Amino acid sequence: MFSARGIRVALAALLVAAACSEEHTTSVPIAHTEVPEDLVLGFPKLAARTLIQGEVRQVGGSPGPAGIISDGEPPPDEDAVAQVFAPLTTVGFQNNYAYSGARHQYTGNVGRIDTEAIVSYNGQEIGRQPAFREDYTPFLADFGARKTILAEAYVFIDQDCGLRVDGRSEHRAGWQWFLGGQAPDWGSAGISTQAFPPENQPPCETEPSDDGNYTGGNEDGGADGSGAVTCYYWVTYDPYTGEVYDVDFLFCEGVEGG
Amino acid sequence: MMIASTRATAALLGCLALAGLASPASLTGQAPDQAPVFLALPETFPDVDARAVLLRERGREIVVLDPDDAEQVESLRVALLVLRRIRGVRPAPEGRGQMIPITGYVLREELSTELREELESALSDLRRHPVANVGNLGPGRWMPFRQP
Repeated sequence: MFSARGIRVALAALLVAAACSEEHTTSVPIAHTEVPEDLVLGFPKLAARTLIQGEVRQVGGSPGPAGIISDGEPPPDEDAVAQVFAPLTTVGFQNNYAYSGARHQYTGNVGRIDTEAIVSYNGQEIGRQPAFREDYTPFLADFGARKTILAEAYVFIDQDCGLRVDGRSEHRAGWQWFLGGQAPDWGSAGISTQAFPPENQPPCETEPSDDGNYTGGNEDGGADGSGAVTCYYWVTYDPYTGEVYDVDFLFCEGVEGG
Repeated sequence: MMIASTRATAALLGCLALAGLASPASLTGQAPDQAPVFLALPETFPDVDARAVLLRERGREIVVLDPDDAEQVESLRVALLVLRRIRGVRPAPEGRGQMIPITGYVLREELSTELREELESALSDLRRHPVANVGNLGPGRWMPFRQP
């Protein structure tokens, strides 16, 4: 049927196609080779604070006598630890995110809040997002006025049922000669708070499956209910140097099965 | 070599079409434009608070599992679900890597027996692979993965 020339052309085409076929960047190790091939991979090295929301700010000192409370603010807690007043943690859901918000009043030129939003589904923890805020007033500009500091940890969510958010915070205040991790400090005080009660989304509606058994799920769940609710971060990095370029903080959502 | 006849041209085109059908992508059951997926099991899990870590870089996708995870099958299942989900959300990075640490999960239902067996088989296969370097994570095992 085909001429000799046609067969030669066909064979040449096969050779060209084989040479141009897609190659993996990493070959498959074969069981019978004596030296297994390494996987070329540059896993990024995350610094301790890469996945923590937060900032350190220098705020201006406000002159005036110590102990002044602005109108509308609650009276100082008589049982509060020295230099930290009225600490509080609250949690909630707001549109497309869950949050843990913390605040306290303090005297001292350094105030700090470490707070954490803890997300659970069906009573099982699936993610935590820590955050911090540290406010520093230059020592010579701080005249002992009472200041307020706020901090918030937020978790983006794409789930409208079944989630619960808890919040825990550490409230601190003290004095430092200058801003910096190695700066000597004194007179520090701290106290812990926890949001109570935690905040819950409405329970997910259960729907009967084809066989009459009920399965859990929500608007985003798969029809067969074999998906999951999960939380994850998103880190963009240089695969050759490991340098981290960008971080998207904790995100919780339902992923479909099937 | 010159193509001098219509019959020879048809033979060439037919062979090229057959070569396309026999590409590695179709043999692995993956979409032609989908990055190959690898499973990795380092002897020491990286210092990340996660049940599993997804990596998307250099034209491939890697699922890094924790050797000390008592629920590796479930973690693998969730990692694959998340991988499928994010393919539709963000394109594969050009020249950059994406790392997705999965901090936790709850399965809405128990895995079916068939799916569990398939995933356990893949993990058993992974554990049989010889120890090599999993990049800068140190010694461990890795292999290409064909999703069930």
